[in-house]
Amino acid sequence: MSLRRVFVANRGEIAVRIVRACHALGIETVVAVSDADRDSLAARLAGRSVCIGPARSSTSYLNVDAVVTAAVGTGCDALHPGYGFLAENAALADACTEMGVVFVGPRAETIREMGNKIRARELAARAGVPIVPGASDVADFERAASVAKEIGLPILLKAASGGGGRGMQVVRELADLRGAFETASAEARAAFGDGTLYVERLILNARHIEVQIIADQHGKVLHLGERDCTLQRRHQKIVEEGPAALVAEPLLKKIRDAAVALAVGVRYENAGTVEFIVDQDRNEFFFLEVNTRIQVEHPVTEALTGVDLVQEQLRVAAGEPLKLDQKQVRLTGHAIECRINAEAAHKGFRPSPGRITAWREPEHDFVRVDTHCYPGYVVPPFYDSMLAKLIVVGADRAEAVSRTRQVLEEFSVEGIETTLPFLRTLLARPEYVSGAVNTRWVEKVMSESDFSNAGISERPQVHG
Amino acid sequence: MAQDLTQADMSEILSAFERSDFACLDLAIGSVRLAVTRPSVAEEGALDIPPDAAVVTAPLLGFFQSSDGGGESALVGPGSEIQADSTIGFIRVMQKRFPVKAGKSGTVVRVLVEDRQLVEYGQALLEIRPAGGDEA
Repeated sequence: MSLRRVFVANRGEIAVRIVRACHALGIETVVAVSDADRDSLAARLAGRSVCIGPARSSTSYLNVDAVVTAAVGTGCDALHPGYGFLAENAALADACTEMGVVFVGPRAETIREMGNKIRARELAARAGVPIVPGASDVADFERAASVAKEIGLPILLKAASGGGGRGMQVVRELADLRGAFETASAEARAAFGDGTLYVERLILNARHIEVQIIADQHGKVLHLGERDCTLQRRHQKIVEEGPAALVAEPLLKKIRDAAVALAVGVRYENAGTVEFIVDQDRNEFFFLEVNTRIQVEHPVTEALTGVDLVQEQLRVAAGEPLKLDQKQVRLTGHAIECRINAEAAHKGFRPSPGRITAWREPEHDFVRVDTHCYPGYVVPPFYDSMLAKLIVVGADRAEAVSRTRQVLEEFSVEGIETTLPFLRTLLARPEYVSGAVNTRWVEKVMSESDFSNAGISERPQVHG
Repeated sequence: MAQDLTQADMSEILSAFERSDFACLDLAIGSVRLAVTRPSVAEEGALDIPPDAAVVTAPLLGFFQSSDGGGESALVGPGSEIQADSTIGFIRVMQKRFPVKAGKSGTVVRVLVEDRQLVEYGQALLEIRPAGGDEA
């Protein structure tokens, strides 16, 4: 390993995770902290911590100049950005290169290309990866009608220029198309001065499937299997699992191959995730986006493959070739990850920072907990509310599900509100156990009255 | 073909390193690689500043610059009288340079950091005796 000292430009559990991976490889660590994180677990574990700015992340963890200067000033030869904050900021990758610091991630060019959704879609299509059927040049009703006929209903209409949900219209019946087109086009013209619409197929019964990629600097690209992240609330993942036991193998093979083809096509380096949407009604899959970073849910893949992804990231960044071959990659058993957040689910997931008075993790050989929390830790109000990731493995999905439900009962946090009660209720649902879910399922069950009454609010703590 | 380092060789190299002014050493001979770093040279937190001392702290992280440029002498030193709006040095971050204002008036007792040293956000740069204090 040619890296000697790594700068950790992140906080929370991922900072702890990176520090531990570095130490396992004999690499020294310096961790960036904001004024609010001076006493964090990552700061205590690292060889050194450096205060890069005030509590507010825009003046600390999101400050490219401060992060790079701190890395250079502490003699680090590499920088790991973790996830979130600056992890997918091409300017950070550029600044690192300029200052002679190895950026642990893809090349700046790749981050830039994949960060631009239109460019990423183009590159995916060029690599032969299916993209959601649609058209971006729908300027009149006749064109809208022909596109609708071509791609099939239901469809989504939105402004071609400008983002967000402005003027978005869903069309389920051809008879509704004219009204929807006129409304959406008028709103697009009012908002962006251009009435041209983007029309794409709306996939209602969808699963979110993503493929873990790792690539070295010598052209070798491997996939490490897939994860199913269908349980989401407002596009935030809640529970992730792998492998995708509920998607048929022939389709899965195509999805994995598509992810590798895209990575090869863009000469991808380091770890990344190619995200797909799977249409469960038509048994088709389409490209969503590429995340050019280590992801929150990477432990699912680590549990299945036995590969330490953060250590691999460091090796690859140091220029080492991947030792693993594709045929050696095996997904063994089933793994489920639950994100435990400091949020009050019964109060609209309101953040719940404060002092943790008691913290009891389940301890089993089939459980892994990634966290920066401990009894007495004060969760600061400035950042993401994730407290811990609970990863549970089983021989198959049924065992993993039943074990996850068991250890969620054993996990106990006091002093602040957490999403533990919400997760216990959600994972007890028969649809979750059988797998009959889609990306809209969490929000659907939450709107049912019996769900909110069924214990996602306060209840007696389980003592281990 | 180079021979691998023995335990004795390594001890000798390490003692030489300890006596030197070098901050790090990275040596590869044969299959053995020896990489040593002095515990963070820039980490000068060990300076004992009385807890009630008046200090001027770094408003941002960067490299401290004690003078206005190459060859110039330091803007302040022990005994310097400073006003709230006095520039006591600069902090360099990438290509940018930010002046550091004293923020309070008094007399400099000690300069706590060295020229071109990395300073953290909030790190004490100067210990001062406030103007109009008991000792005045």
